[in-house]
Amino acid sequence: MVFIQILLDGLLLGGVYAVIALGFSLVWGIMNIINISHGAFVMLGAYATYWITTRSGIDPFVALPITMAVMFMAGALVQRYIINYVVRAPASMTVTLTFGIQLLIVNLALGAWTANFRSITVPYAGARFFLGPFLFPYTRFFIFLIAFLLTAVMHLFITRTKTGAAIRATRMDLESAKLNGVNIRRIYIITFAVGAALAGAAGGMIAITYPISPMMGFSYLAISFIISVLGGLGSMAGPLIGGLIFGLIEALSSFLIGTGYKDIVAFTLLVVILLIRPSGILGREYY
Amino acid sequence: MVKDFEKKNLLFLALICALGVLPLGIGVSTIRILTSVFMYIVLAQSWNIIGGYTGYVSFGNALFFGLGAYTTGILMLRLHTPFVLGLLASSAVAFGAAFLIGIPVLRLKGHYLAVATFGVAEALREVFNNLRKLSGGGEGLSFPLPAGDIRQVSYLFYYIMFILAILTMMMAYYVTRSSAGYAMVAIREDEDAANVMGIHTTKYKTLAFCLSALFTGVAGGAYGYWVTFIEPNNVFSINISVMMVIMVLLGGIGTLWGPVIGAFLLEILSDLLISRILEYHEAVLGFIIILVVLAAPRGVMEIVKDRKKFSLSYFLENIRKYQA
Amino acid sequence: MVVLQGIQVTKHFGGLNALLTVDFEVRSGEILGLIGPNGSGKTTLINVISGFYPISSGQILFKGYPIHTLKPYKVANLGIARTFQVVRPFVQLRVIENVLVGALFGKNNLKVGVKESFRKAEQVLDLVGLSGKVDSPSGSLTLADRKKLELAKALAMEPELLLLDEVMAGLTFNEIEETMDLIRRINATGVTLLVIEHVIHAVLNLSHRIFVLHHGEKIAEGIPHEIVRSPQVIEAYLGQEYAKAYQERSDA
Repeated sequence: MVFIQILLDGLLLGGVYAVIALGFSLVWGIMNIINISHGAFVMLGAYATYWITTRSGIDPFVALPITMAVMFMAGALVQRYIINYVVRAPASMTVTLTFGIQLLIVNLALGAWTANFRSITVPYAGARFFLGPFLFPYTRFFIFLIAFLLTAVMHLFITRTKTGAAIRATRMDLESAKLNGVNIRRIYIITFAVGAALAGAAGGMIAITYPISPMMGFSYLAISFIISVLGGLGSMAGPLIGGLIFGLIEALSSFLIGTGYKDIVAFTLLVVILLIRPSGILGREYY
Repeated sequence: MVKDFEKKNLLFLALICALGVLPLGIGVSTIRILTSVFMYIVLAQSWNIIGGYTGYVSFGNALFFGLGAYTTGILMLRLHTPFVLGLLASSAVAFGAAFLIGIPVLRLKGHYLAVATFGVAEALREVFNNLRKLSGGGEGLSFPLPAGDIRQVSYLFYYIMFILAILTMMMAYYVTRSSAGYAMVAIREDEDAANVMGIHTTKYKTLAFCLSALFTGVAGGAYGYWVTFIEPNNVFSINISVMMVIMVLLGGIGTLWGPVIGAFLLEILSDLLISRILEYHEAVLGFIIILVVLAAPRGVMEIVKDRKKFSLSYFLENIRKYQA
Repeated sequence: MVVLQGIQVTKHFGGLNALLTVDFEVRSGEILGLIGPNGSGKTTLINVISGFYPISSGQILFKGYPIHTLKPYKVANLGIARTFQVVRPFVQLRVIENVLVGALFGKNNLKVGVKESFRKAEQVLDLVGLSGKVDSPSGSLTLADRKKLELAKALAMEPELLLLDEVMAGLTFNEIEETMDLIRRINATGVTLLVIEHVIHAVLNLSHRIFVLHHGEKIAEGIPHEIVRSPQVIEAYLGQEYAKAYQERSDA
């Protein structure tokens, strides 16, 4: 019984992981950039939601779209004025650059907001419902639904809109896309900004359920790697499935071998997948 | 031309001698700074072998540093092994680890390699965080204290790191001029073409990786004894891995003296920043990293070789080179 | 004596048959020409021989020894060198260093030291006519020089069998003449050559024998005089107009 409850909790958390990985793998898949600062954007989103909620008193779930908008703009700026200049560069440069961005953001956050943990408290925090013998806190359940919603919206965006088609075209064949009039720079800005918005959303969702601090981002970066590799680049469902599986595995390994080892399991899984099937479970060349 | 060669060698020897007697005339804090520089030289030059010359950009070389630190630490603490034997053991462990890890990991390239090496380093970090009995786990490991007063101890570590730096430089010098060195560079330039020309690419990649681990492991062991206390989150940290890359980028990737320049610059920079603006020094460091990657990715060496490059147009050209 | 023998060599890429049961042999000391329309499998054949692509089925024997399962570097160490159609210099290395790699790792794999190999590299560069550009960055060469460098890299490997993939593409008439002369001189030192070319008059003139691929299959094999008159070859590749001209040339 307890076992299944733990798995379910893991699954719910997996939804959040999925959203984080979604943004990360989008940037990796479309722009071929591994954004080390992605975790920092999650953290910024968490703080954005925190500040909006505590300063204005509105419900954090309502603050989520605002957070996403703010993070979208932040991402667009970072892309246009920094990342834009290394898009064609080799991994040695892009990873180092995004590491520098991460260092900058996290350190500034530490200075501004201190390392103390902060929490958002909502009046309905403790409310939950039961499905059979299993307990579901409302907040986590809504967050899980939002994760699905965001994935679905992203999928529709990528497959049904003109911009989405342009994004896919850029990935498939850059030269042809250019010849067909796609403004590559603009596409990259949109892609990165969407990635940042998703990170921000996830950050907000985390802020609703857990205490936050400026250093929270790094472990989510690792999780993003793992889920992106697990689920594969090139589809929206990939990170979702990868996130859910990862949530399950994390819960499972916590239960079986203790929380200390779960990261080891995660990283070993990462390396193993990279070796066996780097394209991931659902990965394909193109979206 | 022979005279040039001898002149360079003499200069180098003179430099070594000067650095050899330097500690006797300077303060302990300066000795400490130089000791750090020497250690950074070891780390940077080692990484340069696999990352700069062979083109296999690892973002997890801190794992060899950590393995080295813990090997020496565990041997000294639990088995009362003498320090130098501990260092030898560290070199063997690091070399062996590189060989084993290289078997699967060196099949990857680019981003996948970066992520895989990062993953292995992180996995090891967590492993050591959990090995309570052997290594103290997350609470860290204390080395036995070195004998002597502050000045004597500072001399000890100055000379240890100094010797390591020289050894690493010599290794780099000989490897890069040997046939193995040419194999490595060929692999970097075009691995398939290298293969077709008769280069056993797996062998040379592995060699490069193992060499990059060798002195890094020893440096880790020496570092542990120097700072007396180590913990996994420090010695296996991604910060160390990335610092290696940055030093080499800053100085000049794939060059012999680039890592030396980069090590020196980074140490001076960090020291300066920490003493002036402790709270935000990492933010400034991050900012500088961004600038270097954007405007001078091939580092200082390229500017040293061609003074004209020290110009706004060169930097702007670099910024534009890889843009969308 | 047969230096290289291909038995029922087949290579597919998914559903595409790039090579289909091709039988061929390269005789010691000869220049064997390989011609055919684009996409007929010529480069694929060289890729399979050199180990660059794994063979799908069939065998390749070098002096009687099966090499079709060997990794590319092993094939190179045995004495087979190849050039790439789109040249692949080691861009950040100087010209001489590019050739040095060949000298160090080719047939004499590590039996010769770096200093000695530098000397050999200089000799090879002299042979191909690049001795003036020994220290130049290889990225700065003209196309003709890059082709020479590509050739020099392969030659430095001291191969017994040299596979050339369209070394004359993009060259001017004079450059082609130069290259033909070079190939003859290389052949004179005892090196066996397999030459893929589209420059027909060059192939006809240089080759002792020629074989023709079309859609991955061998459609003709013989001496130039015969090839130029083969109806299948004319149909598939040469065309009536040019066939007449070549026939006249090859008779002269």
